[in-house]
Amino acid sequence: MVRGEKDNGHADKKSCRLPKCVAPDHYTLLFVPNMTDPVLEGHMEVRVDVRNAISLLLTNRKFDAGIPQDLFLDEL
Amino acid sequence: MLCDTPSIVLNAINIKISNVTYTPDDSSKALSSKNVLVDEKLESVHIDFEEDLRKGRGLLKLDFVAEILGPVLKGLYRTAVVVNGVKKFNYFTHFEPVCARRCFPCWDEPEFKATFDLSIVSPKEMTTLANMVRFQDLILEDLRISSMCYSIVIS
Repeated sequence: MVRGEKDNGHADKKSCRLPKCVAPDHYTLLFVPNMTDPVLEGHMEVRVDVRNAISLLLTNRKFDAGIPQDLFLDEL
Repeated sequence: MLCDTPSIVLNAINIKISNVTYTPDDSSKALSSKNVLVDEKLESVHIDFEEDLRKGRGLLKLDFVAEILGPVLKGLYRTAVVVNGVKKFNYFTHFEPVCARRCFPCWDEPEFKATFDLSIVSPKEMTTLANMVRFQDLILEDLRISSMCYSIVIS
């Protein structure tokens, strides 16, 4: 079983966490629904706060599929 | 040992993303994306840039195309109604975790809180509603462009 996966093979939402080295501050969204296809075409501009990540060189942990979320600090 | 951030990771399901750029506040140079990698299992998309992102604030821009779903109560979906013998559709959103990622790429976790402003382009005969009140409604030929007020901090 890989990180982020339950016994039944479905993704476990609680463990599929995003890394915290980039966080959103403000979203500007333009939604243009195409009623005939139907799809939503959109444009997004997000003001983000980029933080540092922790160098991979400091750890010898092995990760399989999944996001190595604990390589990032919550607050720097 | 701290290092610059190599990529931006967002949540997204069945969303095509294109024209990604990141512009740091302290630079006028927009960085283009090098790779946009979809991880279907983790419902996320990894955006790698042509160079690492330095600590600080900036603006991420992208275009996307998402699927409008059937009546499944997830993301942006539509339901059919028959009015005077004519089939019409109502469009709704359901963004309760973890469904916003089906409508637009985002940090779809409650702890990532942010403000939002939303504009919707629709046929002019349609009515658009959102969490916040609309501050502008423009009619351009057959289209209605509805702009909503800034939201409070939400996730």
